[in-house]
Amino acid sequence: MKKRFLSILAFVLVLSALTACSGNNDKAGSEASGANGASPAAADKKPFTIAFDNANDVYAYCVKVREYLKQAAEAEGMKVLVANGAGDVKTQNDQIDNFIVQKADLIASISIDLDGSVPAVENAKAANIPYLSLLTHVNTDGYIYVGSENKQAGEVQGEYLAKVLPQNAKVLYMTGQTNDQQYVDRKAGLTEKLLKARPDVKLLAEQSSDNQKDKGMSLTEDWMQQYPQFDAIISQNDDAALGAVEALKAANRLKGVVVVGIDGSDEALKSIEAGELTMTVFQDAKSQAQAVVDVAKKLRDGEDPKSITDILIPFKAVTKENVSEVK
Amino acid sequence: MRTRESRDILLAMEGITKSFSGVKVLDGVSLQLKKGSVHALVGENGAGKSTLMKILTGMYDDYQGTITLEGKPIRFPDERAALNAGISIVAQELTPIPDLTIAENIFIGREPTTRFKGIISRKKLYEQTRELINKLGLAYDPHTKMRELSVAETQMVEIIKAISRDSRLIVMDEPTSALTEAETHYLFGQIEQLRDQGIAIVFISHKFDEIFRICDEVTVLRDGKFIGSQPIGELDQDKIVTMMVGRQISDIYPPLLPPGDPVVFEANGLTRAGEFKDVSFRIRKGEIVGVSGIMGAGRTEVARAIFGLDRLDAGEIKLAGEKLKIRTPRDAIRKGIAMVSEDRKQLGLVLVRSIKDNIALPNMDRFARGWVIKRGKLREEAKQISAKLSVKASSLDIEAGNLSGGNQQKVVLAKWLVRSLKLLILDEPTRGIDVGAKTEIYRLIRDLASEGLPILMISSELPEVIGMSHRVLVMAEGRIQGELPREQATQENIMQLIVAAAKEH
Amino acid sequence: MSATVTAEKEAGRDRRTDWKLLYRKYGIVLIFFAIIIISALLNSNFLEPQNLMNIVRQNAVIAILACAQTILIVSGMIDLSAGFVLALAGCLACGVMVNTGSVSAALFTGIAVGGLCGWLNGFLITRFSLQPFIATLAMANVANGITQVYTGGSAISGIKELKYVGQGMVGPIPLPIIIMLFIVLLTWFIMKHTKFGLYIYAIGGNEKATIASGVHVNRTKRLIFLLSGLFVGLAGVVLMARLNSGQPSVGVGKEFDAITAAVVGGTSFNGGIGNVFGTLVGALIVGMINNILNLMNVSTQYQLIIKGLLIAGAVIIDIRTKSAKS
Repeated sequence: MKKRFLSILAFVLVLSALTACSGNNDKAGSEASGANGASPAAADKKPFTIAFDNANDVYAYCVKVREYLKQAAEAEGMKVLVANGAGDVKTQNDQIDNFIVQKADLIASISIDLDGSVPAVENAKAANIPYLSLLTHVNTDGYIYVGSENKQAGEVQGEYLAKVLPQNAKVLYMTGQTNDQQYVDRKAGLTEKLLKARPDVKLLAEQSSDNQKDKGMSLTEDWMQQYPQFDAIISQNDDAALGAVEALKAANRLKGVVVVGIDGSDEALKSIEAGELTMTVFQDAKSQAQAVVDVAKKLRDGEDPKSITDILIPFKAVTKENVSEVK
Repeated sequence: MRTRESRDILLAMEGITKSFSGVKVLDGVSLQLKKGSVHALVGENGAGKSTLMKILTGMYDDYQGTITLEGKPIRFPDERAALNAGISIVAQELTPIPDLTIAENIFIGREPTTRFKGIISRKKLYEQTRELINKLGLAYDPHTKMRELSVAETQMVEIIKAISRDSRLIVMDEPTSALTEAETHYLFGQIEQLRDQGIAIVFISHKFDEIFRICDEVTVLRDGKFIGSQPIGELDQDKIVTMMVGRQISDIYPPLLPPGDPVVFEANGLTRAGEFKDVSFRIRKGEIVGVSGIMGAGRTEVARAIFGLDRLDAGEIKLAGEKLKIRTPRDAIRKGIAMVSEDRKQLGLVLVRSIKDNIALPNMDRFARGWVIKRGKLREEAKQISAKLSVKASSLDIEAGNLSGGNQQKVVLAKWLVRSLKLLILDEPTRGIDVGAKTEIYRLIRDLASEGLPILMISSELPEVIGMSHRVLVMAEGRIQGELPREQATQENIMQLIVAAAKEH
Repeated sequence: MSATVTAEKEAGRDRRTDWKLLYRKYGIVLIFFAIIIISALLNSNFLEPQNLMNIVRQNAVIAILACAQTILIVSGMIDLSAGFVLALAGCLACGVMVNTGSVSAALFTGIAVGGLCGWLNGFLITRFSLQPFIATLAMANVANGITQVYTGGSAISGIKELKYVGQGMVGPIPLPIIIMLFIVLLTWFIMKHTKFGLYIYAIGGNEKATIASGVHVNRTKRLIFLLSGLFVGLAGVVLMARLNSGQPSVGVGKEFDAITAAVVGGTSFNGGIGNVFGTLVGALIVGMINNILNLMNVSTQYQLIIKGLLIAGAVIIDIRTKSAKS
């Protein structure tokens, strides 16, 4: 008897802990209804609700966007619902179904999969709820896109490298998960602006570091064994690039090697300032988030979702020279 | 020459002999089963009944001897062959599939299909099942899930299953062990129907009243040998008991020294709901008290409670005059009580660990200083005790699971005998052990007793209990039915006490 | 009835073939050397001392986690929260470092947090009779959640001297390797020479028999989880130190790498069998394979396939060579 009661108690505690972690709905909601930035009419009406679904909370960048989004939305007196797809498109689609049931006014999702997220878009359309895909595309029409083009990120990297690399440079490429659309796009941009534009540059190897710092570090250590000389390590994100930097530093081989990443994370910017990481491609999370809220405002004012165009926030190359601009 | 008698014989087993690793388990056994008769197969535990039935139903196919079915010699390579020949068994342990329906359980593996092979015709399935049920005069709904049925009903479904295979012979192994009187009565009605339909039934049971109620003939086995087969009218209970028993108590049992005087262990009014009630007994210094009874009598349960594996609902235990409060095995062990359980593979040994590890396990208070194990001391004492008990193993680092049954049992004893014990409980100490090792273990037990250790020995083997005890307690249905001093502890007397208890229910 | 049935298993068992036993003891070492030889032939850089040192250093953290998993799996339990607890402990340690500047405070925090989570796991399992699988899964989510909240999703940088725990050297040998060796030896000692270690094996081999031998099994289980938690916490600090920042997301999946190392090294999921040196060899085998595949520039997809086959192979061999247990 006692055992069963205690196990139920434990189960309830664990359950509440889990829900506390996977979304801060209530807090955001109660703050929004108490917020004063909105028009008096909004205080009586139900606040405009943006339902945000993250691709994966382990991606620090996505979490940053989420936080900017919440800030910007609450400043407008809007309510934000939050969920985390944890990398699984089915989980994300189910969460979006929940948002539809909860009658969200706008669904803003970092869609996990080009094809796999199609049902989510279709369901939203069927329920007459506007769908905004953030940072990633979906293989259908009828949704609003806000983000920066991953291909453009790769291009920015490529252009910078094409400018600074010496003749016949040797480069190494570390990537994210290869089944990610993001991987494909960023690689495409890099290929176009570097490998095609400068055919003298040689790609020694390409491996996945899962965009993780420790894997980037191990990979670089192994690469240093295999390749006695190289000129650049190109990474598809900052975490792995910083891992490469650590490995190079420890082996005293950082000098003369250009290391570039993508994201513009705080850690990366600090590293650029310190002269370690050479360059990153800054993704303007704040502007992206603001763009989402701008779309929400338009919808709230009664604009037809179909008339709202996609918003593209450009990537920006960040090096030691201009790092202070973006901090 | 076919007499009218032989035309009635459905199946005959002749000269069946089978050995396992050199130990003869059946020796020239015969069995003749007539159509439309209920034939009792009787014998003690270990007499060979189940082995014989396993051969009959195709589970074993390496044996000597012949089986003839309707006069033609036959040999079953596997269970399917036996089933196809019309021989089914309703096992003692019922294993229905609880979430499937009656119909699905009955026809499992041979479901009626539609025109398309591979698709089950649910219509036919339930129709056919309904027919079978009605044929027996029953009214079950074939859509009922098995888990909703009572034990008796589950048993009936098993019987229907056997019949649905057009069985000509059905073996029923202890069919009433889980039934109430009313359910048994009902079951017997069905058995009579089957008999009237010409089906031969083999009825295995310990319960004499049932045998006399429903069976036509009795075959008695003892020690793997065929003792006799007679129509029920020519027999009475005493005669059957004599046939079952009647073993020479040879010198496999060493002579016992007389026990000491002071009572060392006392149990008063031990009770555990649903298992045993009001169990009281005493053991003197150096005395071996045997506990006899059939399985399910509650003996192991009493032992588990004394040792602390289960809780007592009522009653007290005294050791050397001191009242003991035992809640876990730790408490019991601390007080000097040890138990050799009836299933050494479950409770007795960690099979994947070495002999040495097993001996060490309950004895860390001896072999460890603080946390660190004193390897030297452990090695020495393990070697000593293993030698004393003649554990046959090339090294003490061998996995316990690789030892023979006899040696495994010795390791279990060894781990307890390293301690100074005040009471030793043995539960089926020689189960699954060949004759040679048995003798050794008996000698060990005798030696321990002669050193003054009080011993409680539970055993289902009558000769063992009689040969090794100073006194015998007889338990049945959770109570002590009687106590017999050594001179009066004969197999007949013990069986009478057991049987008398069964009658009262 | 059962007397005659079990008689069939008697006689002649002592003379059982020991090849299974031999494999369990030495098979992994043979595989270990086989891989070294094959890799050396495939790529001339493999045997470079720096490369070999890299391999060991890259897998030091996994090896420490694998020691933790080994004692758990041998006792019949498992820990699916190790990766997230590692991240939590590591990030908290980094936070303490940034706030106090004290390496010892950071180390202490990391180890203590790991131990606390471990003990909580043990508590849930023994007090509420939860399956280790379920309890540690719940803990995993809680630990992950706390980590995300604490770090806000981004890395904690500026850990200054703490990085030496992960990047420092003792003479020619990287510090993480020294720490790893220490943990391995400690685990070996505990498992072989203490009564606690014997109980770990016994509980995994046959929990009922262990209870019937008077061992306080629940208390032992909690201790096992506590000890493994301490190791996980330490691993967390070492890993973050190596990365020079507290990364909230590096823990994901690390427990599976650790479990793989343990299983490849001969630890049996049935419990009661396994030893820490085998686990260490297992971790190095997995590490060497990762390394040679990178050196050979085998594409990522193929790497995943090869690793999957490796795990399957190890488990199959584990099942085949396990000893008789009815």
